[in-house]
Amino acid sequence: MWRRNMIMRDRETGTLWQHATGEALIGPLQGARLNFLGGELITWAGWKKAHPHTLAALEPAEWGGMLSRERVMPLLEKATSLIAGIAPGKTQNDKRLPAHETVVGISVDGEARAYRLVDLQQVSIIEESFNNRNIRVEYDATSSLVRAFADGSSLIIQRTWWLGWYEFHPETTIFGA
Amino acid sequence: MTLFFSVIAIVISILTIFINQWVSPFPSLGIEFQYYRRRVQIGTAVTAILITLGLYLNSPTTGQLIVLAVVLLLTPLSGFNHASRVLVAVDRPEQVAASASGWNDDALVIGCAIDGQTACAWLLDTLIPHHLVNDKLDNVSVLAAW
Repeated sequence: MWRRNMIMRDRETGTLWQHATGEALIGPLQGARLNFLGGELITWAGWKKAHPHTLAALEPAEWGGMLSRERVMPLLEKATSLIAGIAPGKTQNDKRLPAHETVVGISVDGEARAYRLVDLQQVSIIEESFNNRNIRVEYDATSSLVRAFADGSSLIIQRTWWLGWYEFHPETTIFGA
Repeated sequence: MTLFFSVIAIVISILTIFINQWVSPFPSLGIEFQYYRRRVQIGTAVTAILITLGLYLNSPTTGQLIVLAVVLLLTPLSGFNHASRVLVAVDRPEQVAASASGWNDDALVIGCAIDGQTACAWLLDTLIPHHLVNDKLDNVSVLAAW
């Protein structure tokens, strides 16, 4: 963990990468950045409807971990509750929202904006002017999909906990706050 | 003095087991420590072994042999205490047609489409315990991460 966020080591070069930003923090590829593809968190039915010819990646039959799969999930939940307090490298402590509240974060021309998921779930669509752009954020309750647009163009969103968003976007504003 | 160095060697061995957690109470070690963790791990393990080996060679008693054995037994444990041993990344999972997945329609997935064309989905129930899936989509290397 680093800055309340997973770091990943690639096997080819040993470089350490920050999960939230895709940035190579240290190692031979330091300074490089992974391209965000903007994966969508959505129900399987919703994804199939949008992409009828989609492939499905299956989990290997062999688990491979040191602990059993059943023991990993409770362990993760326990670790999650500790992340806000002990994660090394954290630089911010922003209490405008509860640390583990889910937000949808967008960046528009370098300006960050967060939308509480519960707000989106209530109204389904949020439209506003932000950073001189017309922003539209949609939540589809049927498929659980969140999408965001700036002047009609699709934006890459991050659906994450508040602590994960403000850590890397300390100047972020919050819709409705 | 022998007892003192024996205790020191065992303490070093125990601390080495938790080397991946050192940065939590001591964040000033920085990301650099995490990058060079393996070297530090080898260094501390070798130090503990050399101390106990030296003590044993200096005074080849049963007690020193036990201390050496304890240190040698503790050393490999540090290799197991790492997140990648618990959350094992998936490499190139089998990709099948949607109809062959057997997934429930209500299940949450992470879906990704390259240029709006080739699309693939990873089941959230798979992604969470593995955390990382290294995959290929249309010859593009894709990392699905949770």
